[in-house]
Amino acid sequence: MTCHVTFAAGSAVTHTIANPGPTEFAGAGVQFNRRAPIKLANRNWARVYVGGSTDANNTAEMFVEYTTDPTGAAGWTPLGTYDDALDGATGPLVSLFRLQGVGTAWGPWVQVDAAAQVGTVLLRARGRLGDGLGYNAVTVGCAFTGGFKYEGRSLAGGTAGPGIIMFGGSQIAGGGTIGTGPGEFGTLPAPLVPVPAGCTLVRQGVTLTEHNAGQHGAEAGVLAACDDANVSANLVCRYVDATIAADWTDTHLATLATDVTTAGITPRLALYIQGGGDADTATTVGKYDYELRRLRGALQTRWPGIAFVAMPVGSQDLVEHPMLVEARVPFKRRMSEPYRGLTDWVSEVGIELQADNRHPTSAGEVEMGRRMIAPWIAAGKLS
Amino acid sequence: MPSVATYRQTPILQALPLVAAETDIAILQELCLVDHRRRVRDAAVVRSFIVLQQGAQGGGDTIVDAGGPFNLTFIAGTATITNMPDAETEFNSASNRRLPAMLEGRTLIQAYAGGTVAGGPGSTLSIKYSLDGGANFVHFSPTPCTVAIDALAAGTQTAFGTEVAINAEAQTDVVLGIFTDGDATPTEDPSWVLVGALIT
Repeated sequence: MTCHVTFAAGSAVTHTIANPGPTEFAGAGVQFNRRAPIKLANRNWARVYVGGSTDANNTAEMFVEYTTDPTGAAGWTPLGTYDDALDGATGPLVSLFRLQGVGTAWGPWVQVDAAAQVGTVLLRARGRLGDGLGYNAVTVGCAFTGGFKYEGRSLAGGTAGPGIIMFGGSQIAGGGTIGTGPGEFGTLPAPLVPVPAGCTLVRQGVTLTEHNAGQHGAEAGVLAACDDANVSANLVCRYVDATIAADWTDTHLATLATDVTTAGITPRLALYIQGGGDADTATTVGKYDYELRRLRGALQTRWPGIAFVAMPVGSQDLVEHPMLVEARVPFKRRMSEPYRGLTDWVSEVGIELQADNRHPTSAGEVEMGRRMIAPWIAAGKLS
Repeated sequence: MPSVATYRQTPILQALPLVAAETDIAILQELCLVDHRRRVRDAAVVRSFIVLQQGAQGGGDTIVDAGGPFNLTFIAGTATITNMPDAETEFNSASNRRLPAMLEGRTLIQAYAGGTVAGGPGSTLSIKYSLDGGANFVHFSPTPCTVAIDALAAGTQTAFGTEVAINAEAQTDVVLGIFTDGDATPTEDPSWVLVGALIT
């Protein structure tokens, strides 16, 4: 059962969020006149959305809480908790960083706790991690729905077929082969070098019949897993070094689309490895949730119904990318939400790296590919 | 959370008739929990599924979110467009009035608009949907979801559009946006206090 609770839908309202906050919407935290009652029986999922006219700072976010106290004096509790072993943040949440010139931001769905689904509750929207300065919102609300046709992290809605695209930065297609020392990458085992029978590979626009044993990427693992499962895949992969999600949305997907057309395949699955640059600064992390939505939208626009599996960047270099851990949070929230049975993510933990703690070894690359294709094989989408 | 489709495919559910009593639902939950070794909270999904199936009279497997009609509120305050252009344009050329909406199992949509200043002759407001997170918006088909906004008597009238079908493509997790289209002399400054959609 879908319903919405509207906190604002008129002219712009200024919301000033303290750091760390929280600060209730709207005003500067001393106005409580936007709370709303609702009955949430059988409403199992919630997401909060904000349409703005100016941005908050890059760490600011809005969340929604409930209380069974009809006076609103006490008992305020988050509606749910994101189902993510690494994150586990309470929600629903939405970033307030990308509002101006972008419009409406909507956060990932979160499951509503059973305790909030009993009787009438009050809702309130709050902001946290602001900078003490105001931003403007014109639309603020929370959407609720009952059961989804598909669960989060499900690929059940995808269309079976061998067409697969794989793209990202240096951990694909041999882009990040070379570490700091010769020989660190290792060599692809001989049985994995030929492209398996029944499979095809287009890498950087070139059709290959075998991998370069000393310079390959995670695509080798994808095809190895397909071979093990005795299924066929037509894989088109491309890397552009040091790219992030926005680069692919705005520029490089067009090149990949040309590869796809030339190869004559119909992509049913997209595999993407997060770029390290998505986590360079607090600013890039702040907009990463938005960029993932854009990338997902761009994929759907080019190839309607395509499934989307992604992996956080496998680099362990927290000196080079100090915000890496923070970036994984929006990544996993967004890739975990129910989205027509078309999204999933796989863990990057434990990938073998070279001595620079940045580039995977050959075995690491193979492991990455195996992990990325595993959910698609498990869903029975290849034959 | 397991999908409703998953539960539908289990022999237990296929064998059982629609159940009405809460005790039956509780038994069913136990069976599902035992069979699938799911966590307790999954039981809520089963209950929701059963209730919905009762409402839908056991229809197709896409009926998972059907419930009573609901309203979406795009504007509930004051919003004005200055010199509304003679071309279909997202409200005030901004995207901050978009709303995410779950239209799974929904079949009808009706736009309405209450204002204080009318648009020019023939001007309209439409609600369009996006399947790709707002990158592209399209009209509901075969009939667009539109309401005339050229006769909004000042503060006294809400205009209602025709209730139209939600095409199958749009019956999913979408983003909705409001778009206006003015007359040939874009000098009007229409103003609204209420814009919404009734979804059934």
